[in-house]
Amino acid sequence: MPPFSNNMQTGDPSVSEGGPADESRSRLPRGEAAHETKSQANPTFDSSNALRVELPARWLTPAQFEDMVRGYRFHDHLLNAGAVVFSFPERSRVPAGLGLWLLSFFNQLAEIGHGHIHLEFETPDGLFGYLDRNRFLQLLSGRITTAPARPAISGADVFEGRTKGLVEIAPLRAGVARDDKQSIVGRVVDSLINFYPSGEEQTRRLRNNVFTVLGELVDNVFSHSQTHLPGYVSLQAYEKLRSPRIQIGVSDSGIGIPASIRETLDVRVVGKSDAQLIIEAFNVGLSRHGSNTGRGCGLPQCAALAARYGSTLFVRTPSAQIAFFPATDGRRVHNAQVHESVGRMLGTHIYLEFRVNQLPAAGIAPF
Amino acid sequence: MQTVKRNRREHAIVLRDEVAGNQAWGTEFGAAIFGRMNSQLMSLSEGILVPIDYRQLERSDVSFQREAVVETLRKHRPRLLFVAVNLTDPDMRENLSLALERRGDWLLVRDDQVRPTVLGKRLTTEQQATMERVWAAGELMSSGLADVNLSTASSRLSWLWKAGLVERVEGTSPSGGREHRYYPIV
Repeated sequence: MPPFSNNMQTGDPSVSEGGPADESRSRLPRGEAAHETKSQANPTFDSSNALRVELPARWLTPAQFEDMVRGYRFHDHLLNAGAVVFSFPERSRVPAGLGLWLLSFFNQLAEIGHGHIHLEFETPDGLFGYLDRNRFLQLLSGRITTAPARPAISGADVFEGRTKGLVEIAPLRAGVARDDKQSIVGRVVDSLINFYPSGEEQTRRLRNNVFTVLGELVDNVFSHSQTHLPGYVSLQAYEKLRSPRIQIGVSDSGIGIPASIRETLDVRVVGKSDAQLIIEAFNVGLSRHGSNTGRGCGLPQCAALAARYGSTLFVRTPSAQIAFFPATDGRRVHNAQVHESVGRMLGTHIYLEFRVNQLPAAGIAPF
Repeated sequence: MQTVKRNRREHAIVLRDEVAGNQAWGTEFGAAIFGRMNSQLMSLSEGILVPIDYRQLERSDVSFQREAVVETLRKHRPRLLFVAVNLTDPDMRENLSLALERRGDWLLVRDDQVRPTVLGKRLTTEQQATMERVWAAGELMSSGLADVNLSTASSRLSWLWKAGLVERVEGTSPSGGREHRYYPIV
């Protein structure tokens, strides 16, 4: 099964309280084993009365993620000082882009009440090693515990930039100096240079297009999320798949695109559902600054570029999860599939992947 | 085609120098660069040509180009004349075009061809034809558009001037009255 499912309707709801894990065959990500280092001590944790959530023993999909978020009363449990244990079977796999959704979700839960979040990995290798390597574990809230315990020195720090195709998750923190902020996107994209060397027109354009998408999405996080919680950006190349691809994820825990857009007095937002606003924002562009400011053109460009590279673009907001599918001609967004029955989670979370062998259509024709 | 190459003063803006790097993204950074460019352009005299030089800028997104480039030309046009140069990257070109289109605006791009390309919102047939006439003539007055009445000709040429697609210079008509002369921006 590829690490990216286009079928949001039929995600296997194998997330259940203590339910059997799916033992279907899965493909390992290019993670590295956890390196030996002194581990952080975990506080004593009694999981006997905890709410247990078992993740699927295969690649996580957006649909399965949603099943998990809406399937439990996490907030009530945590407000009552309960504990929640997320259990990752040995065969659990998390695609890089979707990993950011998980990271934001766990960190949001850690902010609720006096409850406790605990992540339990069946083995210290595989997914645990990968999540250490891509900085996921390091960016988890300090209020979350893990078993095995997080290494004192993260694999992301030790091996940063040394694994071809893997870019460590970069946090997007409000209040960062402009120059530092400006360097984030370039650094993430440039880490692909060794993987996709410059010189060839196709790869040069691929990097420029990834830059455009990341620039627009990260700009959106800094401009609109309105939260003290950090956002995240990640990028990973999956080269060994039949159709090699670059996966891009951007996630924040802010107010979400629809709420931000509704701050405008633009008549185009009146009477529309959140999902409709998202679709409009990615198709024609909407901005909280109004329609005559020229703003709001970044998201349609992201959707257009995703379509050109044959990618389905997943957008998750507090009230809906939407998948934008490309048309077969690869030049535009064909249709959008909306799921409004979503669980409680803040922010805007975006996940897409460029098929790197798909040469985008040439730039605009001259007039 | 006859094109009058006018001797204009120029004040080039090299984007790479402004952003101090080979890449730029985002609304906030674009607004900061707008501020820098704005302070340079405020003191320039009317009619100066400002080539916006994309040399060595390897990548930038739509939002940066909207804030830095499109807002700059919207503020200083038609007092100053703008043309983008060394904009060869197709993706950066597309991003600029989208930013212009979204703002309902235009910008000339100087390519290797004799005539520059118009990026941004698509021109109407009449606007395109009038610009072609200015290009063909090299210098044109309202009376030079013989196929339409003087008022229409004047309004079409004036529109192109306001859009930053031609230059306008105030002159004197044979009868001694005031008349504008229009020139292509090369």
